[in-house]
Amino acid sequence: MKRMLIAVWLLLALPLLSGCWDELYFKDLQIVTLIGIGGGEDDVTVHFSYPMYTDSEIEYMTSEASGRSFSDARNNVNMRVSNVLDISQLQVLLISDESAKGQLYDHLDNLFRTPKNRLAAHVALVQEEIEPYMGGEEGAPGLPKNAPDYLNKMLATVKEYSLTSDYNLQETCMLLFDEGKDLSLPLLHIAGESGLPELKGTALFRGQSYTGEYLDPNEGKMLNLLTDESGKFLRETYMVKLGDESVPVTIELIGARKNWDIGDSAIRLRYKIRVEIDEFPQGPVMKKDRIHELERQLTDAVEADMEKTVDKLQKAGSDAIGVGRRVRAFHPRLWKKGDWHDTFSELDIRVEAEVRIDRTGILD
Amino acid sequence: MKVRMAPVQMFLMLFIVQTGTVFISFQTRMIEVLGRDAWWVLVALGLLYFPHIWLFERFHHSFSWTPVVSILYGLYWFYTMVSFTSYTVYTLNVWAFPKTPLVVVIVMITILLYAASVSKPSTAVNLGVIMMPLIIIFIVFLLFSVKSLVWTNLFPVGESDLKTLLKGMGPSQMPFIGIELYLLLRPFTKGKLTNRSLIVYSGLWHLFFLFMLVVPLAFFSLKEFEIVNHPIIYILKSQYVTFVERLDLIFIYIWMAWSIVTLCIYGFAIMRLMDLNHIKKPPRLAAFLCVPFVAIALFLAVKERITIAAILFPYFHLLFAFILPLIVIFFNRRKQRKEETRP
Repeated sequence: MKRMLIAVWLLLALPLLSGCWDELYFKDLQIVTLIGIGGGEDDVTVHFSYPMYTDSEIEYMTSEASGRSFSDARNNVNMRVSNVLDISQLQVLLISDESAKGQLYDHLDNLFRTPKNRLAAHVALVQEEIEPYMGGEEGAPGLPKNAPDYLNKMLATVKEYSLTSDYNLQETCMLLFDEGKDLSLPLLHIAGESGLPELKGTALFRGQSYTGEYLDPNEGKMLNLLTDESGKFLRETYMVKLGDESVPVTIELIGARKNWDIGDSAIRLRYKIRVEIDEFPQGPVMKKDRIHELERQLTDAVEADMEKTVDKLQKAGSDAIGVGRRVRAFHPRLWKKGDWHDTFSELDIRVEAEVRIDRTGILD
Repeated sequence: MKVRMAPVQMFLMLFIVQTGTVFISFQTRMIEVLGRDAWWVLVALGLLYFPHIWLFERFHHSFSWTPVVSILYGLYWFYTMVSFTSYTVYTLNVWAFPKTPLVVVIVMITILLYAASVSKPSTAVNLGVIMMPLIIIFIVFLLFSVKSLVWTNLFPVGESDLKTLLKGMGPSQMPFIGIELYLLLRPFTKGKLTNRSLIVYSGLWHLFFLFMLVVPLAFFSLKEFEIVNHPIIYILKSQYVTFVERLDLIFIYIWMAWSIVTLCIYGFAIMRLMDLNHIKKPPRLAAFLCVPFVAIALFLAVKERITIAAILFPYFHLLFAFILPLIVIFFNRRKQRKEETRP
């Protein structure tokens, strides 16, 4: 019995070993919540933003360092900070669009390889320089002091409203290695008037590299519809013709069901989309045959938008929808035709959408 | 050593010992070799588990633990214990204790194993019970990943040629390791076991390993398996939950406990061999064995050596789970028949 107790105590004590050699005190670390990666191959510049307590208030500091790789730059930054920078609580990772045109994984390997790093962080590309997004003295004029929080919430919002695709660090890595689906990430820019970071669109990748092409926010919504990965809300406003009058109607997605028909040279992406009328100032939707007319016009409009999005994806050679996953799994002849990106670009892909109004809000 | 155990206890011990250390990593090597064919190969091979255990059940009376057989199995299980310890310590070092000296963890595990091995046999028998709720918690955690699974990752199948399939037989044996313990544990359970109980156990074992293979295969793309060597832990690491920052750390400790219970059962098996062969003062011999145990485990706890140790396992498994039982049972039955026909 005594020996068994020893065994059980030792078993329980083993996890506590981490408190001996591997302990880390928060007071000795600077918790980095925003990282920006710029520069190219062999000359990477990494920017760090972290909160610091000074005179009982929180101040957001920024530091930057260069190196041959992300990890090298990260080690070099310790030469100019008071405490070690700890990236295990990372919330937002920004990458300059120019850096992303190379092999993106090269910049991310260290983040995946170290066990304590957080993989739920948002990832986004930024146009031009990284500095304005980091806050601090060189930050964009309109950007609040707490740049990391601002960007974190902003990226959560654009995802919630399905304006772009939003993959976290782990999903980004998975898609970089996925042969059947390409990565797409939010693309930010500094808006001229407000001086604030703003969503420019959805950056399209081909394999591991950014193509330089992007979808605008409306097309970003269509991409979410095509991939069936929309956020909490997906709303879109269309102009419909009622008699001689052109009136706006706003719809909100309830749900969509996809049915893809994949042939050797043509693909039909069929969607049955259920929506709710969110705005229709012309009165009751249910009036006479109005609902069917609305459904017909919305079907045409949504289908055209989805087609336009697919065209753009095909031009960029970026299968952000993930058609390739289905092709690889069940259509080996088509898959083996050549490089999937080229095949995807050359295929005759048509979208057939059918919009059905299921709800009209609390008004008719 | 007078031990009695219910069939459920025996099957629980066998389940813990077979799943314990290997279930977090057997997928990588198997998928590296067989690609998407890995899952149906495991489905097919798993169907052979029941006939294997049925044969053990049918002929276990004819398997006698002679000194030579005991030494051979003792050495094999000692090797298994050392390799599993190295692997456990290495994994803990990488995921949880990067700065803790390996020797400290190995010595602690060794003391724990020694204490469990020399205590009453009921310790090893009942340690598995501790694991039951933890196994359920672990499976629930893993189910969080279902929404991220890509089912098309399982297809197409049938792309491996015969040569690749044969090459894949090696890593596919990892889930089967430990099945030979049935021959040692079975005599503790009195009476005849029904085929139904064997089928239920085989089915649970099969389902468990299939789940552990299909989830990572559907979660990661094939290319990722070239870099991800602990897919199950990585899946848990990538799950974002509001109540804990690192789900993988909780699981690492569950897995560590699971592994240590596995090692305790192997320790129990070696002590049982000593008992069967009337070794005097087994605790003293066990204490003596702890010295090479620590030294070899420390030597093996390096990535490259662990990989080599894992490559050797299928060959040892073939010898100790198939060939040796076949030879021993065959000769014993022949001997028994001769004795029966002798006037």
